[in-house]
Amino acid sequence: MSQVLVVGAGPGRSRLIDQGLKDASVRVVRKQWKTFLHARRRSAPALVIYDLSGTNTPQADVLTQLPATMPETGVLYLANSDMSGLEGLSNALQQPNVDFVLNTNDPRELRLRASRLLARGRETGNGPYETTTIPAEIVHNVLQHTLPQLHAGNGRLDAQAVSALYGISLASLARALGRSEQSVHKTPTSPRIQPALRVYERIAAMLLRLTGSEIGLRAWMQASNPELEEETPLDLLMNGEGEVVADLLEDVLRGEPA
Amino acid sequence: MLTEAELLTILPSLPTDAFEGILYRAIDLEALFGFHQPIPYAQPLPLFSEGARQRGARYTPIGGPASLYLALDPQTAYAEANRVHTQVWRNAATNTPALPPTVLISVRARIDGILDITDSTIQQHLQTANRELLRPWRLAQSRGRVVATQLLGQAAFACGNIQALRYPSAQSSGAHCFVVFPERLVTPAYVEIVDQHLNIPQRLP
Repeated sequence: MSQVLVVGAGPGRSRLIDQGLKDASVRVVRKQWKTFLHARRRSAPALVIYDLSGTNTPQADVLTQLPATMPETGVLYLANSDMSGLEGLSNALQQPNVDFVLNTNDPRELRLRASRLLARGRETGNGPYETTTIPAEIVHNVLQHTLPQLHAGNGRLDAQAVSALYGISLASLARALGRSEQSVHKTPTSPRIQPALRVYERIAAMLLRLTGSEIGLRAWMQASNPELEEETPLDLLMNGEGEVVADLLEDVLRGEPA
Repeated sequence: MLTEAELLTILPSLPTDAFEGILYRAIDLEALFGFHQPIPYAQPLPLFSEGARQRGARYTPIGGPASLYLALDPQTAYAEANRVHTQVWRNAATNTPALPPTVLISVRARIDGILDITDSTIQQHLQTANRELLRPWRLAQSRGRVVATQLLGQAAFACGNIQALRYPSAQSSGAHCFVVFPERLVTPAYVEIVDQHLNIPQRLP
């Protein structure tokens, strides 16, 4: 069984990695970076997942040296959106065994990129495809969306406002968020539901722009969609697959095809 | 569709075409200029080719090659960029809302190695058909199912000599589009924005 070494990840990132590697037949070992620097000399993991957002991590050194010293090991960096300024990024991404995940809230991309690096390793380090690099300028091209009417006076997203905009009951929204209706009703701006509400805001902001009205937003969300195998965007959103809906809308704005 | 290994074997032997002419892309004004960003883009990138491999696209797996999707006619490019509006308001009797500002861009292109997968003979070689090429791909990708068109796109890029695929549009029946691999464009091949006053200049490679 292949070994995946997770370095420098805190509890939140560890959960994300666990989700991302859920179906992979790998043994996950966790280390902080200092112990990792010694341990890696004794063993060669198939993949290293390195969280660059941790405090006190030797980022420039890691970016430039780690892939070069472990050419048969895939290296997957988890990065925050301000990664473009990191020294050594361009050189690191030229290495064939390196990739990174920018959106660290979504386990899907992590899963796909980790699988790709693991597959490459299984093919004796000489995969069938050239490794492509993602230039740093993408950091500056990620669309950002905010919708002031969904935020309460304290600045947080308000579940009541979200449910009203989408035309869904607060009870339904609470279920989709994995909370009780009572708790969401009592604290509709709870910090706990903020991450899950973010995709609702992202979708709404884009849909209001694309359809021109709240009626249009609700009509599109509730209609079966051929691009989504005739499922409705609202069903996908309420079932935790909102990212695929948001990605579709972002592609439309960018002129990417159906 | 052939398997990944079979595609890698057969693709180099298939005939390719050349194209010289105008292609089209339509982009939302805000997405192009970043007006809603804390700092708008210093330089818009109308030939931005990273979005597809960032989130995946019909012929581009996540993490795959940089890919520039262009239409062969302006109507198809415009339809792609406004398909949400069209879906919502297609049957509205009156008072359809205005469309958001959309920039329709012409792209002058010379591409030398185009695999035309709209060609039925090529499709037979690949053991595919329009039905498979037009199948929805988003949920398949997000749910971990194999997307045949992405396998094809990745394998075509891996061949090295294929600079673009000509494929049937899923948005406009009968229309054709290109997915161009900028990393495979070698002089004299190029794509560049047609803009007489150089407001949004960009050229690849």
